[in-house]
Amino acid sequence: MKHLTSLNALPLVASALMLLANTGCGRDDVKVYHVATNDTVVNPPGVLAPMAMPSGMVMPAGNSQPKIKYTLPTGWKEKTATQMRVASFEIAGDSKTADVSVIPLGAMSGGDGPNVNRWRGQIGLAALAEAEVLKTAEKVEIAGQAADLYDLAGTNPGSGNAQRILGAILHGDDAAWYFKVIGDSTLVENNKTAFVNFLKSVQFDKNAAFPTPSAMDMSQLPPSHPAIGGADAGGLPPSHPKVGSMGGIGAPVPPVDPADKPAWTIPAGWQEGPLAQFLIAKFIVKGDGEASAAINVSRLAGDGGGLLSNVNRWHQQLSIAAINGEELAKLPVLDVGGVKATLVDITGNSPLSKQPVRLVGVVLPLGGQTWFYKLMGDPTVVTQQKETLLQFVKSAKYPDAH
Amino acid sequence: MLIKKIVGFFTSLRLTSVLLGFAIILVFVGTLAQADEGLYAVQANYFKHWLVIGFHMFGKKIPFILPGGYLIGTLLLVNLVATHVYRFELAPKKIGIQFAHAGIILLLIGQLATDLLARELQMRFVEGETRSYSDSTGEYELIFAAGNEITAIPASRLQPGAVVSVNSLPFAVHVKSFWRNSDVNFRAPMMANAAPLATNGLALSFDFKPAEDVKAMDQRNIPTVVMELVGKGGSLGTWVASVWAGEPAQVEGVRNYYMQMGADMAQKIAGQLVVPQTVTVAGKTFTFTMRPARVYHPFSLTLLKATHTVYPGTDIPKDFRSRVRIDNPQSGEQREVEISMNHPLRYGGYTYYQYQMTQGEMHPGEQSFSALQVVHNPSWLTPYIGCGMVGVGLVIQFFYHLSGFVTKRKTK
Repeated sequence: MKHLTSLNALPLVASALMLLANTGCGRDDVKVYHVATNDTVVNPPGVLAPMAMPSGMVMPAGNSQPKIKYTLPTGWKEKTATQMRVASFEIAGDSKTADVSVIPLGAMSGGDGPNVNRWRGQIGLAALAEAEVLKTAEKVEIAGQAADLYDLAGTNPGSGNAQRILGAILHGDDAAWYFKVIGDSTLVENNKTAFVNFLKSVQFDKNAAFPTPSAMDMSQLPPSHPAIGGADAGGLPPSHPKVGSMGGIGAPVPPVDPADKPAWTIPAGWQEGPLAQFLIAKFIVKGDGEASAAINVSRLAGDGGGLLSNVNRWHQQLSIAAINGEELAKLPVLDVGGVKATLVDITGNSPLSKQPVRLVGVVLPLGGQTWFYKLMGDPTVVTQQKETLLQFVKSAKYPDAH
Repeated sequence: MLIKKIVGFFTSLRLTSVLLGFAIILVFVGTLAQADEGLYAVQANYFKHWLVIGFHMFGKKIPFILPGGYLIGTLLLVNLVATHVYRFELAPKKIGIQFAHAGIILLLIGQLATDLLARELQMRFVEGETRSYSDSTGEYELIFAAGNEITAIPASRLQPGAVVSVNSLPFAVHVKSFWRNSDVNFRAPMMANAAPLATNGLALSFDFKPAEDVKAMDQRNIPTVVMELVGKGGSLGTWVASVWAGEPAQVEGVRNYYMQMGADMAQKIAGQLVVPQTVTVAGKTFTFTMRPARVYHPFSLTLLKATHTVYPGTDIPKDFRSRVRIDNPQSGEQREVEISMNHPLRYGGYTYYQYQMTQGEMHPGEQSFSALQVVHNPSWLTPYIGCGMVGVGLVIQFFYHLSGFVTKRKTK
């Protein structure tokens, strides 16, 4: 028998195994590498970075986006409006191009500070504090209304080319409108006057009405908001990869539980309207001719984000100046079964239609929740209905008022 | 004496039998535990582990200690190698046995190599898109991109309390929390009751919270990290980076999820989720996010056409087919190939299988989308060679004995 008694081969095998193990462990190392194109920013199919909408997603026919009219500046070419855009243009010159977009967003479009900072980020500029951002605004006119224009010059973080953004923001009652030019720095600069003239020429369709979601006022969110959505990603096509645990997004929003609804007698002339996602109830009341007003009832947990911010949200919807805490304290108080509710009665203009609008709102804190009643619409109708609303608020029996 | 005892222990057939016994028990226990813990957790905690301390069975935790897959495999390998080396004999009658043993050793080593080196990736694109990288299906990374320079920190380095400093970054990453699986929730302006997780970026619009590890095979953990970036001049703020925001499929999922609030709102929320997060230090801007670990290829694939056919009158898929173009700038190769079910593309050490597909025509307004399962396994040949060696060894052994038997009968 010829035994290979020396175990010389073992260290060899051991080192081979070590080598193998080391290669595998390399996955825990930090890697630094260069790529041809930096596509760090996620731009998945169908989901596009805000205000950076590539073409290709054509708006479905019969979409309910609001329409605008305008005078097309020379040298601008109309493009097919894509999903979020209501208008889209291309400016070309010296083999450089710039893109013009018009996007309306619902009431939750966010403050100008974050939005402008997002634009700044797109051209490699550092974010500024909100107050600093607002200081950089130039005043422009869009459809006869005062709006803010931001002129930002930077470089494309990807290509390093000089880029410029001209962004104008107009706050309407139900939406904020974003007009934006982005592209080659010189080209955009040369088109600034044309852009300002274009903004002036814009006219909103008088019948412009947002589809409910766009117009969704977040003050209509119910207290259970964190439970928005369904536990399954129901909208996914069958062969779409499974989305991970969506449990945290919560259970589907249940329809309004009748037990949650206050017991009330609906006044004569009030018609129940289509219930938007976060409303407890909605009523429509018609006046003479086409005049009408709507009553929205919603409920939020706790103080619903603060009385002042809610009242000022209403102010914003009527394009009137915000109030401060001192002025808030002076607002009339309504006695609802021994509970003090705040009464808001304001008149302003709809920035979109320019028609006068009156709003009567009641904010009622009750049983750890806050109820919001909003009567808004044609001033004559609102004047006629104000007392009816107040009686309605007082007569309602609240499920949580133990 | 001691060496002899050790050699005796490691070359004993008894050790082999005990190890094989444990292997059977481990496979049995691991299979049952999948019902409670999920496939991937069991793979990681039972088979890719040295010791199993307590295991699940029928919903109960049994406080026994078992040797894990790594321990059994390693001891088996040592046992076999030691025996092979120690009892090696260059004689015709042993050649078959030696061959079969060598084959089994190769199988074990090959499995270890697969475990350490193989990667399962995916390549996802819509028609017209070009990809020169694949995404890992289970590993994630935190990346900082400055221009075209990417610094990728594997999620495994992001343990709470860890400080990651890299030369390419002018700041250190201080990990506050790391959740292997997390949930995302849109912070509606009126409902943002709790303070945001971080003072900057994504956290201002979204809440993230830890979630239990997923168990189902078709689900994946979606990790999130809360971190503070600390430069030379002090803190650059606390930020959240999440795969919810860094992987298109997750963003798409969130968008679909919020569709019930209306398409515009869903789009808006999804748009908010993918707003780039940046920090600027000394004039250099770093964009960061968390995403599936990326493996770059020295070539690219372009999806030319995705074809999805179903059996007439049903939604049952009949065929998924992706026509892709390979572009290899190094070799100058440029050709078109078709990848379909059971007809993968093998190229550059990677195998591309047709995995998922959505057909644009079936979802108007959407482009056709295809996902390829990309498998990279440098040791894919070892099981074939190993099994071949065992087979050849057994055949040699059989014929050696047969010829001996026949000769013996003849001489009789």
